[in-house]
Amino acid sequence: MKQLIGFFVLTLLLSSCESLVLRSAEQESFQLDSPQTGQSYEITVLLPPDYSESQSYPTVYLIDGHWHYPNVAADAKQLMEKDKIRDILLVGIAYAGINPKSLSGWGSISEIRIDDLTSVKNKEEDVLGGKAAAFRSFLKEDLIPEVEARYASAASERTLMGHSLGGYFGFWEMFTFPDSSLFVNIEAGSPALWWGDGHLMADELLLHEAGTSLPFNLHTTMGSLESVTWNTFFDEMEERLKAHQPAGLTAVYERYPKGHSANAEVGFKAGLEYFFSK
Amino acid sequence: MRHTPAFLICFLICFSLAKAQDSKPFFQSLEVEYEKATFDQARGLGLKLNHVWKTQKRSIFQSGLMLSALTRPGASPPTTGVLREFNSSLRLQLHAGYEWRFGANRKWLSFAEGFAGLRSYLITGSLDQPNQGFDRNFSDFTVRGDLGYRLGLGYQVAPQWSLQASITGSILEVNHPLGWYTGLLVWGPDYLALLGVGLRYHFDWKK
Repeated sequence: MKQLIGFFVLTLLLSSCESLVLRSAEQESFQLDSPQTGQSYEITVLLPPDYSESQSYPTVYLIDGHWHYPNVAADAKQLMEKDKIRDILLVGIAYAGINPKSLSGWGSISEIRIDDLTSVKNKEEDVLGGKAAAFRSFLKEDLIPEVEARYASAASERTLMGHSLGGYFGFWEMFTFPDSSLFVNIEAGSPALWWGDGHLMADELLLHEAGTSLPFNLHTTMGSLESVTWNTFFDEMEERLKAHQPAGLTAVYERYPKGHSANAEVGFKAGLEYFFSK
Repeated sequence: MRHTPAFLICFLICFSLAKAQDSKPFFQSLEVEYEKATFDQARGLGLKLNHVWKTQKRSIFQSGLMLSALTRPGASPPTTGVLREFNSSLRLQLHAGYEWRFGANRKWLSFAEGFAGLRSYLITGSLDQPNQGFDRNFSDFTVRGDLGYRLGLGYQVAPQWSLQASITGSILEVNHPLGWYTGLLVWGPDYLALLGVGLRYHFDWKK
């Protein structure tokens, strides 16, 4: 009997080891320096369970990977393994060599990302912000070509996923480069639409007046506990986009009874399901 | 604080009920605490009633009720618009735990307890943003379950009075699965942990 139990335990251990090896094989990392932003980025790529070079996978570019990649990768992996979504590549974009817990002071992640993710400063007198164009150049000219050279990534099906200022960056991408086709799907969690005096609201109005198409699938979410400013801007943007109905835009607006960071987790998972459900 | 009148009324009712009991009171002590969230601006008052179930030489087992109300000023990022906002949470908890006495004349006390209850959030307000041409109202009321712990240390300053300090944490997901990313905690009525200082009144000291 003891031998039987021992055999059973050994089998269990070995099978666990095997699955660990398989899991670790599904994720790869590399570092990429950006001349545009002056930063080094740690790029982590989650490959689908049966990754094949002969396939062409939709690819999700996840901003703030230093914070969100572990949760989103766990969700993506689970959804793919349970066959609930199509196989995808998930690309986490993190800052190399910077402690993700560093939240204040010069050189902290919180400050670097303000530069990278915003197209204007929040207030004129602010030091940080307004370098989103450089970060976008890094995405367009360095990261995306690198990912598409290394992996079987479908150039026609790129998704941009971001939260908070990352959500702002998603809206900015839509409104500033509506015909670039760099991304077809935008997942904007808790977008900071109030940033820079809410200039994205004015940008949307200009696009509407010019009759500009917005060829994007947009999935955007807000936590109902995220205070009045976040929610009123979100509600106003939803109302305007629904009223203006820009050609080409497919948009879903969702709310969860969550706070700011909890909304990232549920919103990103909902975004994966929305864009890639089978 | 908009909760203050309601809190004072609750306090007076609890105090009067407990004080009015002529035999051994059901609730043997009443605590009032000022609570301040770690890392952000949420703050408020807590009111707790304790019933003692079992007394030993240096320890007692007790349980009871706690009500606390916190406001979170400055939860919204400032804009050029005119913001009116009230942001608060209200908690009702059942707790149980041990208290240990130590030191000279057993005047020092420490306590550890768990709690289960409800936590509600109320957000209401409006934003008038003339630069972007809108003026909107927003309100939300959300209720959740809550489960957590409270640890504390106190000192008996008079026969019926103790001073105490405590830390309260929730083990349920609240607003911040990312935990210590304090930069992501700031928007909304929630908080990670509370530090409290307060007073405890012992009703049954002479019984």
